[in-house]
Amino acid sequence: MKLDRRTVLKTTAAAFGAGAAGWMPDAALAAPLTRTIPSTGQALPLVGLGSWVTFNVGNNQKLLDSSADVMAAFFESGGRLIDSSPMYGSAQATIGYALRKFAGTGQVFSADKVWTSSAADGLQQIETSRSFWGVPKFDLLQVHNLVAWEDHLETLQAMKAAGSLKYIGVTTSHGRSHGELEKILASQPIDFVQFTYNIKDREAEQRLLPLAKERGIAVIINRPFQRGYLVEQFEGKPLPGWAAEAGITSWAQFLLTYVISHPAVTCAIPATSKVEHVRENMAAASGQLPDAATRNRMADYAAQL
Amino acid sequence: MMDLLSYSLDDFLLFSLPAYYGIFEQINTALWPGAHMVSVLVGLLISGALWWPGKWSGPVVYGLLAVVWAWTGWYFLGFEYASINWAATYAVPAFFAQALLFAGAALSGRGLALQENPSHLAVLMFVFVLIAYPVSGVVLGRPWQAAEMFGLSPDTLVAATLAVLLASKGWLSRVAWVVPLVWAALAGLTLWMLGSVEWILLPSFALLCLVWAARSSR
Repeated sequence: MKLDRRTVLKTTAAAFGAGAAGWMPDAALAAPLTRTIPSTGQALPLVGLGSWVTFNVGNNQKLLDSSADVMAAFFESGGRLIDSSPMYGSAQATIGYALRKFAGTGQVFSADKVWTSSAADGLQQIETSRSFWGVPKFDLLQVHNLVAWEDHLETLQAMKAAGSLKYIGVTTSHGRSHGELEKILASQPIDFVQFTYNIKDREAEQRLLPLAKERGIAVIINRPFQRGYLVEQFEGKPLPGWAAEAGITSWAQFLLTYVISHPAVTCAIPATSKVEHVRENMAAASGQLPDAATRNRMADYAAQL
Repeated sequence: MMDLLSYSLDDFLLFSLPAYYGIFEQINTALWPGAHMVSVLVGLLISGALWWPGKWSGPVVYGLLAVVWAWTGWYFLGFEYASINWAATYAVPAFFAQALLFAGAALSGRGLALQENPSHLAVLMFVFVLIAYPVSGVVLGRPWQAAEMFGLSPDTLVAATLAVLLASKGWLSRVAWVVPLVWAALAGLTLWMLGSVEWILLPSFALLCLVWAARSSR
């Protein structure tokens, strides 16, 4: 049987066998599993929504509405965290459009970024971003790709102290600047860190993920599918027989489950422009999570293919 | 330095193919039918001035091209394309510079002028671009609502300009090739990264014009 996203949608979430070897007890299927943000104890669903490329649709009404449909499906599935950046073209405006259309401002956990080499422009850029979103204030602001991070962290810390921001963080992607990121994690009072981690890009397992856990810093994972490349690469190849024990019936589910099952991960943010994909991604957060031994087995199996 | 090397071309692509097509759908919907009628009129005027050369041909051809280059830089790049690609604004000065070059040619006729008897083949290539470019995109898979019309798309403008330059002479005509050729390369690269088979169209046409110009100059 060819295992692809359409098949998953038709089969729906499968029942989990209690005590199935290597899998932890499952949670309720309807609501996504959550992890807590260490600095406050607030719970956050394990899967969020990215907006790089997918929500950069300009003023095209048809595409704005289809992006809004994706967000509506995301919220209906229990999703909360949406991540964006001024770098992502019109994605912030698209998010704002959808939030107004479906009155989702109360449900969203808004995560955006400051992305300017000029410290002086940071506050203005943040305010412009906030007005695009249409939220009273952001839940989380992150320094994008560590650009001028020292100056911007000062700004964000001041905003947090003044009560106009709840969480602060930093981001990188594609495995860049991990050395510098490690120094920041070890020395700066941040709540979140965001970087790339997936079944092929596993460098973060060596140091960043354990360090974040040790320091009590929440972890957001970007590129869990390498922008869809991993799903394309694996689709058509057979899933291991033991994956079915936890109801994993697609490679997208397999790949995302691997990421979110790492104990240090708080939330993964795959981006998509399709309603069926966002539902499938959220379903991965409603299923069983593999333990460490099974995670290794998953990584080894993927590496062989 | 290692960080710079880790970037791939994909990292610089901010938008998807549907979003790119959506720009043209947006323009065609918003400006129909007025802009399209003006586009056809401008195309006919340029074609006529090239086919039946006279003392007013140069001012008509280069004057209209100047207007279209300025319009495209301001409207398409500065507003529509910039809504999904903030880097598009960096190309606006180049389009305005091209517009100024053509405006200067229209006013003075120095450095850049039409050949005394422009090749009819060059004129036919110009007309071909006006008709075939919008159709070719649709044939290759884009929605018909996103067809690229002359005057409402930089790619069509660049192709049409290259055809006009084949019928041009003067040292400035060589300068006038630079921006169109650079845009042809960037446009082809963008469409290739977006996964569209249309990527081959403009670079191929530009290469054809370049080869023709090189052979004609011998």
